[in-house]
Amino acid sequence: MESNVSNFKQNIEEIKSGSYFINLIKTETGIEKTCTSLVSDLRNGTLSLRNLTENLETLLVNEDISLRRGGTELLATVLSELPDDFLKAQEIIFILDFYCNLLQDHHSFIPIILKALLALVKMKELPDNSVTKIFTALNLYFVCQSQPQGDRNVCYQLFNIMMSKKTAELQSLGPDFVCGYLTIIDSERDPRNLMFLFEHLPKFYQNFPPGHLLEDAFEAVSCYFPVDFRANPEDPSCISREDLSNLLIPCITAIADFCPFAVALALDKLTSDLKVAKIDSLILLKQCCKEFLPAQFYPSVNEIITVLLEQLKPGNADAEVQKLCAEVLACILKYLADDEKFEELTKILDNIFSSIHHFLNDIHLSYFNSTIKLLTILSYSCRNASLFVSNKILSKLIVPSKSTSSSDIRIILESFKLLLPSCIKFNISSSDFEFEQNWKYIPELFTTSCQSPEKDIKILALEGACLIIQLFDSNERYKLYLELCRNIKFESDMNIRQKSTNSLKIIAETFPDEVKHVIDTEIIISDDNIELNGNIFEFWCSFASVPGFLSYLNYCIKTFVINDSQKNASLIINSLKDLVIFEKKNVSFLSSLYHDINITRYLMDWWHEGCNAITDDLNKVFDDEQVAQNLQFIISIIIRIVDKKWQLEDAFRYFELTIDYSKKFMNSFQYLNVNEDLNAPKVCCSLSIITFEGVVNGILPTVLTESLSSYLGQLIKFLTTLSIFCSRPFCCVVACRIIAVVFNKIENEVDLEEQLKYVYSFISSIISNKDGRIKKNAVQLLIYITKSLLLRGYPYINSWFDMLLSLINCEDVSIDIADGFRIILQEEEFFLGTLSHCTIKLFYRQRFFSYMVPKLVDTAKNNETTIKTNCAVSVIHLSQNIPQNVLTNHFKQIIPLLTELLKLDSKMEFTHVTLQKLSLMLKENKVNLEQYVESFISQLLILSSSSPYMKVRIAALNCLFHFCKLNLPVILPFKARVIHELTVCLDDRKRLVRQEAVKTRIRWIVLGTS
Amino acid sequence: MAELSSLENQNPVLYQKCIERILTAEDENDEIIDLFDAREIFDLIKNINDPEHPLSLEQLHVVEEKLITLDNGKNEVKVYFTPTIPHCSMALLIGLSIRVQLFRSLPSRYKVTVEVTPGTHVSASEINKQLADKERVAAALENESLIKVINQCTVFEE
Repeated sequence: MESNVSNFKQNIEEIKSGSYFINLIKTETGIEKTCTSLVSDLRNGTLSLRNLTENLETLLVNEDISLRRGGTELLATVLSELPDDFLKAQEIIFILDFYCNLLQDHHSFIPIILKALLALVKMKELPDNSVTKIFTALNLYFVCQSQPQGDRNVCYQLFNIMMSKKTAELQSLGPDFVCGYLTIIDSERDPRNLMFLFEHLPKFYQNFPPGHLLEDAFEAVSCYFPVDFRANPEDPSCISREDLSNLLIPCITAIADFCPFAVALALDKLTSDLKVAKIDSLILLKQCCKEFLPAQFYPSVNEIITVLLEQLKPGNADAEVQKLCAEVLACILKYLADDEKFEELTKILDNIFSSIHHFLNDIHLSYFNSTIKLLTILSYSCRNASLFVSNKILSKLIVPSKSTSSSDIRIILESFKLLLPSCIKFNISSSDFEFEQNWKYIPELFTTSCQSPEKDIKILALEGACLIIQLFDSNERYKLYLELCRNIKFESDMNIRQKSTNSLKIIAETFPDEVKHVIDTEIIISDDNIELNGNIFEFWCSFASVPGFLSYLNYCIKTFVINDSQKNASLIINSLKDLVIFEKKNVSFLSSLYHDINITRYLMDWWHEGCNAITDDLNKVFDDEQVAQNLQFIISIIIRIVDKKWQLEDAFRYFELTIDYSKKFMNSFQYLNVNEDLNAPKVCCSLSIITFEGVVNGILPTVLTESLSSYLGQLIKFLTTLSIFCSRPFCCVVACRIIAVVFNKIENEVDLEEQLKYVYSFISSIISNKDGRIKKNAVQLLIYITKSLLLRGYPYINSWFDMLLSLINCEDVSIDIADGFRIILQEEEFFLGTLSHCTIKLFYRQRFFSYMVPKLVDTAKNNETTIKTNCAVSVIHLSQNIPQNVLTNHFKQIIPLLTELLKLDSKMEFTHVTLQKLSLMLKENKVNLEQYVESFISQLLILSSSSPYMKVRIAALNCLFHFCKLNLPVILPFKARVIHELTVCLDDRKRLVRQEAVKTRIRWIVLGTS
Repeated sequence: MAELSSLENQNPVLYQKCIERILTAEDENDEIIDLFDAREIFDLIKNINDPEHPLSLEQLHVVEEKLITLDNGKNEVKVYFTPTIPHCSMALLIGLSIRVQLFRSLPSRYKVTVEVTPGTHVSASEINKQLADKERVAAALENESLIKVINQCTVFEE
């Protein structure tokens, strides 16, 4: 190695003789290394450029063409590796002359010359006249389009640099340069080169006016329009037709002088039969509107409008083209409006309307709808267009507006809903309308339609009225408010009530005082109408999110929940839950609920007092599980967004209350004779614990750890006892959920370990010693704790997994365990989720699935009937919630279990679940079922025709339907059999089965046809 | 473009779609037998696409529930269809599409008759005769290009 280096250094010393280079070129080895070394010597001054060129002279002027080429290439490589501030002006001139002259040499020198010239023009000290020299030489001795793609690209780069560095010098060459450059780029075909050229041509045209070569300059780019290029479908990252087209259009509109040519080109291509040509032409016309000045564009406007109107005639173009035509028209209208050419604008609008107005004569004809869409696009272009269209539409539709036919009203409302909001955008008021009497009927139409017996008309009126409310006068608005309030109070359909509330919410943004007044006078609680009150509470809760209307909710809570808890609490709590769930991400609103009206404190105190005061004949609200559940949602969703300081305060307060309660509970529990008969538990917990769950769910892990540290053991003992022995199933589940959240959030590992040890042995002893309900409760607790620890990423979780697996062999709880697998992997938004500050480790599903499935498959192999079925159900539950790749890896293993379930038609629910899952897998094409097609199709055909259960027959047919998504060669052999056997299902005794059979059979009939 | 411009009825009248059949408790009861009725037959053919427009036969009132009769005792189904204009050249194709759709969807025990609503088409008798000719219908189904068009009309979105 050392000797090589010394040889090389010695060789460099021999440079003076020049023989080194001749040998180097002859042997063709080490050229690259030599270049690098030469560059470094030049840069550090040990070698001068003059010395280098003198020593290369023998090569550069050598009679042997290969030696000459080798020398010039070596010099070009050295030049291209030099920094751009290295060469001085004199040196550049010297070398540049040499390379320009070299253009007359052999054609194989061209790539080398281009490389050298590119390196030279990059130099900072590029002297004047140098680019002229290059241009002249290239113009005389170089034919660009005869070169390969790469060399052409270098040439374009060279010109690009010359044009940006020496613009003035090239401009002084006048049309000669334009002509020369256009000749060079003329007929370029490679998409990579075209992308480069299209990117830089607009600047070229702007800097070098074509003068008398205008048409040639335009032709150089217009010849590519519309772009006809098919991208390689196998390479999504390659250049697409759209890429080229997007860059080409700015070239065509690069300078104002192109305007008449560009418009003519667009109009010409718009008459093409090709859809892409039409679309590109319309995009070009839009660009023309943006780029060209009025003076250049106006002469063409009438011609453009005529051609566009021709395209807009029904049947002359497809919907996409017509939509673009309408957009171009809208651009032209906006263009004229911006230039204050209102007379021309009106003429054009008249022209457009006269060509389409007859389509508005009959509102039931199919072109009515498309004409309304066109007018809608136009009406949003400018104020004049909006007013014009509104006037025309009002006079055209006023007669059908008075119709009593519901289909007429539906169409009219839809049309006004589309068109009239443009008036709001341009601040048009009803007094601006040409015939105000025409308008007068419209508010009435919307107002009366709000009470239509047909729901879709009602919804259209509700949605439309709030969009055009600014066009209504105060009387019209008041009438509408009354109708909205009537819907809010008395409508039985919740959807209509919500739509009415939403409309009022939108109106409240513009007319808050009027809406406040209407709410105060119209939305009044009744003493005896519970249904009405429920609707009003729902409205107040929903309206609370409108800025300035929170006070109604405050009043509602304090008056009708806190002080009058007997009747209305459950209705209000339910509406409040809907509100906080809907606004769950609106932190500022939730924060105002917490801080401004203190909602959580009021509700929690009220609930605690109510629950603790409960006696047999007292208020049922505090014994209502649904109310309790809703309250839990409200508390946890609000508390989770408040600061740690507030969370700590709430946590300490309500944890202490819970501990007090737990003492009472545990005392009463101890009085029971535990050995007597705990399978029929007698101890019951009040629902006060629900507020505790709400707080635990909402608070941060640090807050939970800090506030629970002193009484964690006591609390866990209480909760485990409650979860197993409470006679109320709801409380058992709540206790399980609280334990799960505590174990997920607690930060102190030692405490966690200690409590887990206690709970594990507690569950184990219950499971081995008890039966019935108590054992099932213990299994439930086990499932929730496993879920919690799995999400947390607890390192020693396998013992919990194993306990679950061992229980699948117990026939009495096997089905509970199977269902538990669903609970464990199923994501719940408000329980053990990231929104509740819980820890959720990545890949927890994969971890659980990979551990469980092989063991479940083994268990199924060694057992019969029920346990086998439950193993299969467990696997189904697991596969429902895991990513595709994990399922694909294990799918082969679980196939026997799935087919086992399909054979067990006596257990309808399992077969049905299996079919649903199979259908889902087929629908999403998640797993490769191809090798099991035969066994599945046979079993599915049996089930679809002979299962005694309708649901199973439908699900089996649905699976057969989705089997058509598999590879055609795999399923085509079954086509005749499936079509034949499905004829039986066409005569099924249930209509729903027949419907599914028709759908599936027709799908199979057309299978394989084009 | 030429194809679009040559539409016979460029601007047909559009009608509201009927409301989907409401599921009843009987429908979901495994024990009760659901007999075929006119609405069920209508549901089978209402979504057939018009060969000219991107609209269904229901939207154009080419098929209507009131023009369908069914006799479960005799296993007979009779469907009248109404072309949008009296000289519609697509009437036979529409009739054939209805015929094929019912052939594929109904049990073979039913005798299906598809006819033009009396007085709504100039060549009604000729069309009715062709639609009633089993051999001609079978031959039409053998015709690849024809069955392609019929499949386009009768296969709906999932």
